[in-house]
Amino acid sequence: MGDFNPVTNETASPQPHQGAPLVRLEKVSRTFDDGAVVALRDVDLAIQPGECVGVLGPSGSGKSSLIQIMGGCDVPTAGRVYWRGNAMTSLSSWSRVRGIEIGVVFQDYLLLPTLTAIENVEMALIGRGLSASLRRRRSAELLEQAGLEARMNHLPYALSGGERQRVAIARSIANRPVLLLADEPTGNLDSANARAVADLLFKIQSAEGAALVLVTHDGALAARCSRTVRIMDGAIVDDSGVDPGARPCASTDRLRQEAGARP
Amino acid sequence: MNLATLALRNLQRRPMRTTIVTLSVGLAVGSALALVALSGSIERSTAEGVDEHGADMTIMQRDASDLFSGALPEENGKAIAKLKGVEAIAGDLVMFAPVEHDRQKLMFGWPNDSFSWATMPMRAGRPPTRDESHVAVLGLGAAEQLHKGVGDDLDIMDERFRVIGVADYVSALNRSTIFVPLRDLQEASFRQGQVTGFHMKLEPGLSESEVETLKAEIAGLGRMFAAPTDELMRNDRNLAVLKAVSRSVSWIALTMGALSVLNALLMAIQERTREIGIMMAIGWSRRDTMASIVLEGALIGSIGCALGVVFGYAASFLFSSVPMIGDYLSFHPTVAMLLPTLTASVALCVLGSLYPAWRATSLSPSEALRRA
Repeated sequence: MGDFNPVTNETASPQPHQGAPLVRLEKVSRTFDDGAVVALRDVDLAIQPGECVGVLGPSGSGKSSLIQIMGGCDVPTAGRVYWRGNAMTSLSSWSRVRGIEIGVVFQDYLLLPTLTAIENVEMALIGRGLSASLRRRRSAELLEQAGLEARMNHLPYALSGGERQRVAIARSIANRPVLLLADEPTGNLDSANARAVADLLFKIQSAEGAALVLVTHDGALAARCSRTVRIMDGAIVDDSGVDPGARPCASTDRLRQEAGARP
Repeated sequence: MNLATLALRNLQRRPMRTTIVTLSVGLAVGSALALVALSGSIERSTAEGVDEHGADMTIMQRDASDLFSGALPEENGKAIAKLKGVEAIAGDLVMFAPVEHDRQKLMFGWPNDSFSWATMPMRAGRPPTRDESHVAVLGLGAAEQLHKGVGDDLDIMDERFRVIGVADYVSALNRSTIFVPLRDLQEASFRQGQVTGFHMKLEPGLSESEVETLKAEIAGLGRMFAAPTDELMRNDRNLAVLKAVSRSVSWIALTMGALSVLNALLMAIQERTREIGIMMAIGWSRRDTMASIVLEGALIGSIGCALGVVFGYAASFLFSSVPMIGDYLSFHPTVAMLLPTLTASVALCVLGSLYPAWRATSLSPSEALRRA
């Protein structure tokens, strides 16, 4: 896997600005139904390379809208979004980044139902200038890494929720993204599978050095991140601050110890 | 996996949807093909039938609406025979007449010395002799339909005829026709001395200008015009009406087929809006996403067209088995008919996929995922 260098056939990604955060939201608002529904209001947020951020908030607080905008899957109705210091003004500007520098994991997996596990992972590698055999090999390696070597040729309906999510995670890191966004990745899973999926995400984040933004309403899961951002009614109400390197993502053992130490 | 295999996978792993959409395309193409074939066959079958009689030109009454409705004096043949360039001339009387009391069959009455008898291909028996009367030669199809053979008796307009031959014509029109001496048909139909037109053989080597002069001279004899078969077909008003009707039906079938193809593709793509959202969310470019959808549409179109050809031929055989159609029209889709229909159908499938694909990929990935 070490020799994998994805090449995109899209126009080159925007040139990074030295020292700029990976993604920065500046007074971002997102409304729906002509302003009747406000999902995000005046959000300022920056994610640094390699950071591990937990975004915590109840249902309907705007977490998913936030992650959609950070991942270039949606555009704000007001405010600006910067990728590596470059203003991203349209969806087409994101198409050079989305899926290549950014990997997204969704709560409901979003696998293509007609493709097997390995084909779903391969989908993320099509159009990146890789040969079919290299795509296949890379996809197989990723699935092995996710512990799914025996399930590669199964269609999504034949996989459990946890397995599906692991396929989705394998797909999201296929192009070695620098930012991994996970939108309630354990929301549909039982506790055992949720723990396994969370462990996999943190393991990948640690191994690949990518920034991880983990959206969840599970406080324990958010606590495993080095930084926690709380969101309520579309606005950020608390941000534990940027402190990369000082506090790596919490391991499961440490989290358990911390939880056990609480009164 | 690449774009083509992705499209194939989608078709293979949704067998029900693939079957329904390709069947819709196939039925639309098949019915359009059959109706286009029917439309084209009316003129072609009639022309084939006239050409098989061995004439270079047919002379018709100027104001007659079609081959059947002319009423010319048989005597005109003598004047025409004297014109320069005419090798042979034979009057003929054409009509539908009751046979065996209740079956209407197409009848051709030819003079016993007509050159058309001499060129008639015989399966059995012989054509009439110079002085023979109340004899009939049946086209092979007519013989089979009437269960008659050489030596059998046949009632035509309540007069008894004897079958003396079975003709082995190729055209559907002639195969279903009964040929009798002109005099007999004139008497039986109370049209003595009258013909519906003349068949004319030209002397070999006539120049175009000589032919034009001859046509002008025939026109000068009064109430007549001479024309080769194709021109004759163009002037046949009944054929024109039939062609217009069948073309209109073809256009309606084509429009309905096109709408049904577009609807099937629109539905098939709309139900995949979520998948399109996923593809874009994992980094697929709009161009590649559209290409995969359009490729799928082209595949559906191609499979549907192949089915459509089978359906078209099957429908043609079905139509041909309807007595009043199949007796006189031979119609099968020809390569000339297949190519434009199939090209248009595949193009329609590609264009029909392009629009919903363009619409679906115009959405942001999150909007596409939300709409699903």
